[in-house]
Amino acid sequence: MLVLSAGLAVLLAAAPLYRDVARESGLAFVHDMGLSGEKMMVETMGSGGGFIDYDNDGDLDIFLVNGAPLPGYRGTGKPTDALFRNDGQGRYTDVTPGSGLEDGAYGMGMCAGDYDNDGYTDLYVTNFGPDALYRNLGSGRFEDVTRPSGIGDPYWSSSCAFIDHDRDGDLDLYVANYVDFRPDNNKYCGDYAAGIRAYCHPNVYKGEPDSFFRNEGDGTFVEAAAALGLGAGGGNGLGVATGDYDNDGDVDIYVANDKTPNVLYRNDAGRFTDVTLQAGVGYSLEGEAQAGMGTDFGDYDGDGDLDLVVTNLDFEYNNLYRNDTAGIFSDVAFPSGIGTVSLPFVGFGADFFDADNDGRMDLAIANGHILDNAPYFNDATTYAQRPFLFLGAGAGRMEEVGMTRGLTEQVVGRGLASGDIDNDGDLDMLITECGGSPRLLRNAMEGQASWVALRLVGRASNRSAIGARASIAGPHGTLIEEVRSGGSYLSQPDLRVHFGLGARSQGPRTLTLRWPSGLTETMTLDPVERVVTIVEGEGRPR
Amino acid sequence: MIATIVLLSAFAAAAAAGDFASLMARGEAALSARDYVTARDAFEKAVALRPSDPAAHYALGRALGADQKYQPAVAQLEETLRLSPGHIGALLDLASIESASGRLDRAEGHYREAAAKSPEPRARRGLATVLARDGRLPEALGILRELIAADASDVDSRYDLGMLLMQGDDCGAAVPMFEEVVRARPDHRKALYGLGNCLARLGRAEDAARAMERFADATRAEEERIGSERRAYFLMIEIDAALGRGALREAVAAAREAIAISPDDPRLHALLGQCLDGSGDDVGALRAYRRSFELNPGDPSVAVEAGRLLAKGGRFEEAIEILEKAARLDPLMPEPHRLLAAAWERLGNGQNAARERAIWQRLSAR
Repeated sequence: MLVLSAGLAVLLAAAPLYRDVARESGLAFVHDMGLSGEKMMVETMGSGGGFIDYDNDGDLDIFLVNGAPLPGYRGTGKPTDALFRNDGQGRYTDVTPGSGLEDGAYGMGMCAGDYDNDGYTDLYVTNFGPDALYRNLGSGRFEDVTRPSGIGDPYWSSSCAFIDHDRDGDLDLYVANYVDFRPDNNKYCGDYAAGIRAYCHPNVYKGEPDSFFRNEGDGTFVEAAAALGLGAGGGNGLGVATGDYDNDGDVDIYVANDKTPNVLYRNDAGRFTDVTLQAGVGYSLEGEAQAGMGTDFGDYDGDGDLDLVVTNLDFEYNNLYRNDTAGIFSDVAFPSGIGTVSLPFVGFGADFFDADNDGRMDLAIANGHILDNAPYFNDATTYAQRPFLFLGAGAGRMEEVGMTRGLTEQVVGRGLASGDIDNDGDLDMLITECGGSPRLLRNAMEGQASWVALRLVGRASNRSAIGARASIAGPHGTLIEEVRSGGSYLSQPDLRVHFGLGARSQGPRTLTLRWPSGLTETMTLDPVERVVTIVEGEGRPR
Repeated sequence: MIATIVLLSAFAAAAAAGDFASLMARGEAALSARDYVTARDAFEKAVALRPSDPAAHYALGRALGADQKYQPAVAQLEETLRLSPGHIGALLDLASIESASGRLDRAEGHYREAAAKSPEPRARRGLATVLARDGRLPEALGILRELIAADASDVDSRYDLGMLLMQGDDCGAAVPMFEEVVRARPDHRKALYGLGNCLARLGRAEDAARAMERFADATRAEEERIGSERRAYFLMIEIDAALGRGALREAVAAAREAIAISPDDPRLHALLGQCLDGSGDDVGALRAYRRSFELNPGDPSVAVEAGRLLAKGGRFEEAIEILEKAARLDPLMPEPHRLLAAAWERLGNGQNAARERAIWQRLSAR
């Protein structure tokens, strides 16, 4: 009997956690790579997507970025980015026509934030070519304000993030830029002798500097990367993560670069210092610049500071940089359990969140090779690859459980974002596929554990409360989360903060909020297991 | 009659032995030059000549592995082990492939078998890395400490020990390891990085900054070297494309530019030879082919081209000398024998000419 019970517990623990509901939810979208037939490297980088509540109805809508025809394209379609409205019942409707988001540019990534503090979440879309800033008009329509806003990023951009770097109450914008590839400088890469062409290594091209647009507070932005100490890295930027890694109250920036060293910029009262080398987060354990793709900050070990994950190419490994004291990091990829399993995979999107609401940080990673003909060059690999789900196991360990928790399908994964699409208290996932349809992975926890989600509204701080930090007592210690714009790879997670709180019926919880303005508020949440709206300065949940 | 047959068989066997040795040498030279296509070709021919020779299978397995063709590499390495149980090289290479692919249990098995059969430190070092990745750090540290105790000058084991100590959060013990390594090899980039990283974690910020500065210098030098190689590679493709469309002047200019970047790359000199050859500059082409052959004495193709031009210029003795080298390098290549036959004929040696012509016809028929 005892044996049977133990077996049952194991079976329950290993039950699938995620199920793809994209098709049944109406998320009808196919990413178009705009294939040129000439292996132009932009084709294989994929496009991201993410969650925003664009109509302020309390549920998460989905925005998906699309490619566009490249020279030599033989398709007949006219791909555009797409906006899907959530009806509150988990069904999505394509509301792109007439939304103002019908961009014909070759799209890469997105990030969200209310840059004009009007109460509606705006969008920034990175492109292969000029990017676009869309102001949410609040009527279901967006206005392309790129030109009047003064934002003009001419580079091939990838990930982006809104942050309030100087804590002046409006959102600035960091944009990672990749390389100077253009269709007219496309090089022949691959096995030249055998005539097998492949997408190029990024260092075949020159890395482009990243951009930082400072919000002037009047609807315009000024490019200020160099003036603020940013953008001096080696280029090749693909992933951006923002968070207060040194717990000093301002938001820092980390950039994952593809085959040049990653860069950590420490924010000191609005100015930035490159602290990569001393922090130990630029290279692999052996001092090699890896193929950084996606990245995210998260307190994976529950010790009250933000750690970092970076995804990389196959035969490299994914880094897990544990934040030790004083902002010095240790790469604990192998002792933590995330390193070895990643060796045969090409990682892209990465997102720290609590998938099973047990109060420990988990980690999801989208995988998929860069080379559509990867097996020719390395017969141990495949183009499409399964995603990872690492569950926090305590004591600094993470356990990869994707195969038993519903993440079995091989996908040419690129973007990945978490968000609670049905407001049932567990975090679902969006994974974008290069040249394919997105997967909307619904979490089947169904209230088996306690949780709380916070919708934070800034007043002195930026309205989206991006950069706000929430701390709450969890079953394994104090949990911290921050409101994040962008992150992962080309993606936008839920702007709400979510905590898994372990077993149910634990009573009221004490929450501490540290707003970007500097205001700190402590309040009691009773009950939990709901989405709570908290407005800065009110001192209690609404 | 029987004696004649025996003699002929012995001669054939000796010839085959020479062929085999030449193919293996050619493959090794190509493998060193990272010319995996040539290496595979040579080793495949060696395997065809001697299908029961583990050395040939092992060489082919290594070439396939270096070219990231892991499945056939594993098959060749396993065949090596079937023919020569306990073959240390095959065990180590198999372990390395399995470890890089994340299959730690298989890697561990191969490393353990190699370590049991040979004092080769690579086996124990590899085993230690695999064990550490599998979470068995104390056992891994013990193995490396034993290696260092046995040979205090073993820099590689000392570096590996430093790395594992660092990953085990023992930077206090890792720092002396890294310091020893950079004392022995001041430009050891990886050790400099580990040292800088660990010093930072120990709060020794100034020492860390100094180590990281040295690491950054070494990295810049490495990046410049890789950048040069990359520029030369793409120029090589440009040369080939220019040759393809008959733009010889453009091709020559690109070849000279590439050689200026990477003067010791034999492929670039061969390409320059080809460009000049096509332009009718026999003297320049011959010089380029000869330089290429000096840099890669294992490449029979450029030797053939040089021999052809020497013969064209009436320098038959020199032509014969280099063509015979080409024939030895690739005993299955017909072209040197055709040219040798013509050269001997021009020198009035009909017997040698007939012999070479017969070989040429036999090889061409294959």
